[in-house]
Amino acid sequence: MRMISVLAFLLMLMSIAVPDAVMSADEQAWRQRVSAAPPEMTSDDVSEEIRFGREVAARLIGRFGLHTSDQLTKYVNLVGHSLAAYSNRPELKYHFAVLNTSEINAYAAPGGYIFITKGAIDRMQDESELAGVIAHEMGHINGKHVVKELDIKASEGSAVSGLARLIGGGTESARLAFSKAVDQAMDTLFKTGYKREDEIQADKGSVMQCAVAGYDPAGLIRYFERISTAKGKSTEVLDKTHPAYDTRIILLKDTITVAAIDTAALKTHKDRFTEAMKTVK
Amino acid sequence: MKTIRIFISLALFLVWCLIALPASAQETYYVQSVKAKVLSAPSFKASVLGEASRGTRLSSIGRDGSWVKVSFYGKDGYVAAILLSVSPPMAKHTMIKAGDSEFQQGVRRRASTYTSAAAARGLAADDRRRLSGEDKLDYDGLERVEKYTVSDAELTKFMEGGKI
Amino acid sequence: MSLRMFNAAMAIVLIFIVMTGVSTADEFHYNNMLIGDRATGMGGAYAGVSDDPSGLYYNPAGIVYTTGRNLSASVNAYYNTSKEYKNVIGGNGWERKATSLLPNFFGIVQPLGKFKFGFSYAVPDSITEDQDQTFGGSLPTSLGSPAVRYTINFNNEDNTYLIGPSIAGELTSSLSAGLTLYMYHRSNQTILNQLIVLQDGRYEWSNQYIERVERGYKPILGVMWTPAEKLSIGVSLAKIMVYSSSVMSQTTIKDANAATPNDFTSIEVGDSTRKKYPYELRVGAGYFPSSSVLVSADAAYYTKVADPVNGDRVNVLNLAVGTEYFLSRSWALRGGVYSDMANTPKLDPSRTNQDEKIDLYGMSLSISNFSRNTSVTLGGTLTMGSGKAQILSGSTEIQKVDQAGWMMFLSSSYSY
Repeated sequence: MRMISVLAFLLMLMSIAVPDAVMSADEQAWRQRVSAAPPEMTSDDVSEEIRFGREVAARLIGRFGLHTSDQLTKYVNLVGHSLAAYSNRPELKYHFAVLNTSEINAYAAPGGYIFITKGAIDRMQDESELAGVIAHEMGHINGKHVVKELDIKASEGSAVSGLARLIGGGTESARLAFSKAVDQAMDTLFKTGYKREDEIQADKGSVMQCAVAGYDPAGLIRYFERISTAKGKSTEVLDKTHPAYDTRIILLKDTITVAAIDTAALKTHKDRFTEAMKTVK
Repeated sequence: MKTIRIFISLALFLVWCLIALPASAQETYYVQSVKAKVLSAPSFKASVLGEASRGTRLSSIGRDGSWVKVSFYGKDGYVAAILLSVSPPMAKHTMIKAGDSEFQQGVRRRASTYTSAAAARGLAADDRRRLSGEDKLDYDGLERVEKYTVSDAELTKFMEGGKI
Repeated sequence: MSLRMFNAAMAIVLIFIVMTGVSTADEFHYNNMLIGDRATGMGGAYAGVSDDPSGLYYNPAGIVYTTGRNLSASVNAYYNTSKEYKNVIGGNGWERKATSLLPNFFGIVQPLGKFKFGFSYAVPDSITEDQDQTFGGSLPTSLGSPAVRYTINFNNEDNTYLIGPSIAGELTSSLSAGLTLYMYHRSNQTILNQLIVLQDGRYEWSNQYIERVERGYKPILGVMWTPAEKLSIGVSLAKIMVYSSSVMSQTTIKDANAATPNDFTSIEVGDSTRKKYPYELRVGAGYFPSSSVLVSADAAYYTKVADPVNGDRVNVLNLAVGTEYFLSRSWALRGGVYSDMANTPKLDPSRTNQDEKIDLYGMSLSISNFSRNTSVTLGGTLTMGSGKAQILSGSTEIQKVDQAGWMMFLSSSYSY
């Protein structure tokens, strides 16, 4: 009996002492039964996701402002929508815009809002690079990374109606929880970054989506190689919130090889890109 | 007699396990993208078996990295996983939108009620900081972004390689 | 016939083949009641799975792998058993029935920093046993004259309660450990009233009342090892340790051969000897081939106990095999088979007053419905077995016993 209690005590000590003891329920994802799988998104869930994403989008636009060039906006939208045809969330209407800042970054808000900064576009040299970045952001939305992390879903039994939103919807605590979630989303975008496996999934998704849409997925690699040498504060947020460039480039190259993508046969649309950029400044 | 009953039931149980286990690996997927190419191997170099349109139901026998192995008209085919989902594609979502001005007013009303109520309840410091405007909200800009569309004709022309 | 239909049909066939009764609590078995809604459906083969509140009882190390944030589960069960002792007195058999309706498990799991914390309540043993029979005719006795009337009223209530906290944490990415510390409480009341009226006018009457209250601890220490993807191996060790025990027995006998007709003998005995319980070592494996199928198998070994007061117990090995099969995202079937072997020694035809030895086998089946955060399960178990008993005190006669029982339960679990 004494031996058991000593053993138990030692085991407890061990579990506290082991520094990297992380709950790895993720590593045991095979334990999850079909019932626990993320339930099918209902229309109300999508409404809630969009309602949430709008708040994040409004803050992004408020922080940086929209770039005014109609030509550039049109171009980014055309590239974006041609990729959206190959998205696995046909219920979402994607929106694309350029943020007026020299910072180099791109942002996705749940519900289909994708933003690229002017600073990022200035560093691109062909359409496939732009497509790669958009596809990566789309990967976060398609993978529902923020929605899952912050558990954004319609509250059970509540009807999401325009009237309810006008009045302010829900109770005070629901509103507080909503605000808190928006803050957390902003933190993810500017401070902490997505989970590592979400970033990996988005990068892999970018390769596949570009390839399927006819774009050269190596565009994203060229873009990373170029901005990794950028000096100054322009990549500060991007660096803080994403894995290192070389790690990402290795993964992207690997994904292209494994999927046997013939990058030479896919389009970069360099001429069209250069043409579009001419009218912008 | 009773022992025999038990053995029979155990045997049946094991047989059931053997049948259920492999069969349970089947999963049904639906095509989400407008069109999805079905390839003969999990590689972009493989030949195209055909194309499945949005909503097509595909019965899968497993995953192979970024690909899903499906049964396509009797043959084994592969589809990029990013184009599939386990639930049927949902219709394009429409948000019931209130009129512009009403919406803005509602938003403003909500924000100010919240601020004063928060102040009254003496919220924690970081909540007050949050409300002070570190995050500016631009709903006008958001509306412009949401209203921006490209016509189907324009998009089709673009996707076919045309100029802007 | 689609695979799903085949599986459902198989399940029904299984019920009819092993159609028997269930055994409820008693001292002579260690696996009387299965605990927890998921574990019960799977025949108790749970040490290698244990990834929900039911795991707090079988292998607390498993709760590290609970998916979902906070979980709670509760089970309410109705039990019904009947034991038939053949050829006890003059060709007549004895029948003992037992029923019990109670909530027999409740558990919650919650993450706490790097660990998972749990709390549960379990009733591994609960019995209300009844026998009320009167026999007439000419029954053989050892009192020198046959009996014309024999009345027996037997009432036995035995309940064991476990309640306590659990904590579990990950040691490495493939190894976790957990500890449940239950408070153990057992209370048992037995009343045996017998009247024998002899042909020659004498009669013998005895009334025995035994009350036992035990208090103690039951720590359960568990580890869970994931040697490969989709395979999980669990080991747990437990032991009931009694720290206080009080037994009071009161026997009143009016002997047939008493000197004067109304001479009673009354004996009162009190005993605070703490009963020794065995070590319980449970080894189980869980195999998760897909997100809709789970198969598990357990072996539970109980060490032997030398107990001159209550009777020696031999070592016992119980086996269980269970499976969980999801027909769809919201419906799941669980089934299992298990053994509940007697812990009493084999009966010696030359000795008297020996404990009965009945080996039991059971099967369980349950169906669950899942919605977003909750699940409701309806299920049952059937057990049956046969063995030997020495019901009549002072006699070397051994009777054959058949036992059968069933249990139905309704449980729910909630994730939030």
